[in-house]
Amino acid sequence: MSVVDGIADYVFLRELGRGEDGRVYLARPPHRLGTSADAVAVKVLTAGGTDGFDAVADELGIFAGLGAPELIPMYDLGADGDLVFYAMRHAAAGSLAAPGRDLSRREELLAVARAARGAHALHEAGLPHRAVRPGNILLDDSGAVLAEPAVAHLLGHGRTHLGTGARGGLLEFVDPQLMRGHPAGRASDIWALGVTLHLVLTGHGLFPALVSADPFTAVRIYLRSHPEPGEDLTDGERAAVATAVHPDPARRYRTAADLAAAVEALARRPGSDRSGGRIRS
Amino acid sequence: MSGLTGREWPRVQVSPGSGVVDRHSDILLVVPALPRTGLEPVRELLRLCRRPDPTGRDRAASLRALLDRPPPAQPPAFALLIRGDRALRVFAHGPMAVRIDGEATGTAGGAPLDERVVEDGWRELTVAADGPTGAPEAADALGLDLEAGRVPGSAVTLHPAPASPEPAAARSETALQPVVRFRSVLLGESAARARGGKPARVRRPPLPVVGAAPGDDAPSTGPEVLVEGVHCARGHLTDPGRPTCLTCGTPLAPGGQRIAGPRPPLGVLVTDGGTIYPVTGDVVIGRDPDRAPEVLTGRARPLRLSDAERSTSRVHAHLTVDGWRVLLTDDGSANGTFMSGSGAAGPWLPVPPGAPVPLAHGDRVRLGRRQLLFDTWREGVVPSAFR
Repeated sequence: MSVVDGIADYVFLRELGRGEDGRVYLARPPHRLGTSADAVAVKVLTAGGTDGFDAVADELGIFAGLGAPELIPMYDLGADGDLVFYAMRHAAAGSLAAPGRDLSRREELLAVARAARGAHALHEAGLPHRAVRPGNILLDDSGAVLAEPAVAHLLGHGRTHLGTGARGGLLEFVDPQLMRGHPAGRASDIWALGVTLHLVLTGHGLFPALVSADPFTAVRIYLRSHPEPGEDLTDGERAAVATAVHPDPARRYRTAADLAAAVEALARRPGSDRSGGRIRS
Repeated sequence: MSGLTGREWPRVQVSPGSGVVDRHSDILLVVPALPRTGLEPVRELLRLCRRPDPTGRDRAASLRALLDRPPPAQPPAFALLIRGDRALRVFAHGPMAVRIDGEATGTAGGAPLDERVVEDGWRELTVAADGPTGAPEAADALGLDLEAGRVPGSAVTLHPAPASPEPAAARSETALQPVVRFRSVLLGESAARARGGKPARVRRPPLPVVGAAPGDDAPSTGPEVLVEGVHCARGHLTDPGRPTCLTCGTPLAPGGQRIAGPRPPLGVLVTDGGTIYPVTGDVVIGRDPDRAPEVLTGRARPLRLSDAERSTSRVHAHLTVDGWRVLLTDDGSANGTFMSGSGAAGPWLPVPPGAPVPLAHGDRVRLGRRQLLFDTWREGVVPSAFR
C-alpha cells in the first residue's frame, strides 16, 4: 500500500497506527453513515483480495449488531477495488497498550474486566474474538471498549495463520491450544484476557524468556514452556491469572464473564487505586 | 454520486448464457463462453479489470501482456468496454461481434486485440460472440439492468442512460451502490438508522463452554484426514514410528494396537517474520501462492512470503503431508530451496526440484532470502501454580 489519502468516500486525516493485519486512519466520515462524529477510525486490511468479504460482513455484522456497551461501535464495512476496509468509532484516549493519560491500577483492571464482558457478549452470539490484547482494549470517555474481532483470516484462500505474534511481542497472547489445532473459542480468548491481566498487574509478560528473542527462538521457547505468573502478585491476583491461563482449558474460567467478575473483585480491593503497571503490546 | 453526472454508464442488459459478465466502476467485461478447463486466464482478466487504473494506460498494457502469452495461458474470446468522457473504448479479443443500432461493425478476428472507440450518440449497442446469437428480448421484457457486479451471461445490450437519472431509491444496506467505485455494508447504529428501526439481531448459537459437552473442543483445524496410528497412554492418536507421543510427549509402549482416526496437526511452520501456521495439510509456499492450482482448488493452503527483492519465487516450494510424514518439494524455484537440520549455522543442504524430502521438527528451510522453521510443541514440566 502506498501513501493514501482516502478510501471509498472517506477522506483520511492522518494515520493512527499499523497493526499486524492492516493500517488504521483517522478519517472524515461520509454523510451516508448518519453519524454525528467529526471523525471515525478506518482500518484498511493489508491482505489483498475480497474473496471472503461476505464472511467478514457476517462476523462484523454480528459484532456491531450486538450494541454492547463494552464493544467498539462500528459503522461501515466496504471493499474498494482489492482492499477491504471498515469504519468504527475513534477511541480518542488511546488503548491500554498506549493510554492517552496515566491510569490507576483500578482503572486498568476495570478496563480488562470491561473487555472480558465484551468478549463474553461476543461468545454468547457465537463468535470468538481472536485478538484480545492491551492494544485492542480501547479507551474512551465512556470507559474501555473491546476493539473489533480479527477478520483478516476470512479473506483469501483459506489463510489459516495464527497471527504474526512472534515478532511483535504478541506471541504469548496465542493460546498454545491453538497451535495444537484446537479451534478458537471461549478458552483461547480467556487465555488472552489472562495474559492481558498479568501484564496489567505486573508490567511484564508471562513468559519472561520470550523478551527480545528472534521469531524462531521465541516460538521454540514458547512451544517448550508454561506461563510463569510474576513473583510480586498477591495470592488473589495469582489465582485469577492462573485460572485464566491454565494449560488445561477445562480448568480455566468457564466463561469470560466469570473472569470479568474475578477481575472486578480485584479492582474493588483497597490499594488498587495506586498508579498502574507499565503495559506494552 | 452526483459528481459523476455526464459519465453515467448506460443501462446494461445481460443475455443469459454460460459465460461471465462483470461490471465494475468504469469497466464492463463480457466473456461469452468459459473454457472447460484452465479458468486462470479468465480469473486474471477479471482481476485486471477490477484493478484501479486512473490513467487507463496500465489496463491496456496488462491486457496486451496477457495476450502475449503462449496459448494455454491465453484467455478465451472477450470484449472489454471502458467508459470515457463522451465515448466508449472497446477492446475485443477473438471472434466477437459489436453491433451498433442493429448494424454489425465487423469482428476482431485478425489482431490479437482489436481496439476501437465508439462515440456517444448510439441508441443500442450489443456485444456478443460472433455468430448467430439470440436476440435479448427476454432480457428486455424483464427490464434487466446490471448496475454492478459479476453475473453469468453470454452477451450484453446497452441503452444510453436517461438524460437526468432519477436519484437512487433507498436501498437495503447490502445492495451494491451503483456508479460508485466501492461497495459497502452499513453496520451497527448506521445500519439501524438507515433502516429507520432497531438494529438487526443476527447471532449464532453461543460458543461451547469447554468441558460442558465432550468433543466440542477437539482439534479440528483443516479438513479431517484419517490416518492409522496408535493411542498413547493419555489417549492421543499418534505416529507409531516415533518413540514418544506427538501431542503430549508420553513415551509409547511398543506393539500398540493400530487404529484409524483423525490426524492431529503435525507441527507448526513459523516464518522469519513471525507468522505461525499449524501444519494440518498441504501448503504451497511462495511470494504469490494464491494462484497455484492446488490453492485455487482448495487442496492446499497458501503460505505467502512477501519479498520485495523477489528472491523467493511466486510458487517456490510446497509441503505435502503423507500419513504422518511432512515432505518438502522445491517447485523449480529460481534461487532454490535449502534445508538445515542444525540451526541457522547450517550446513544448508539443497532440496532438489521435484524430489520430496522429509522434514523433521526443528528443521529450517531457506527459500531465497526468506526462512521457515518447522517445529512442534513439547510438554514441559507444569509449574506448581497450575497443579
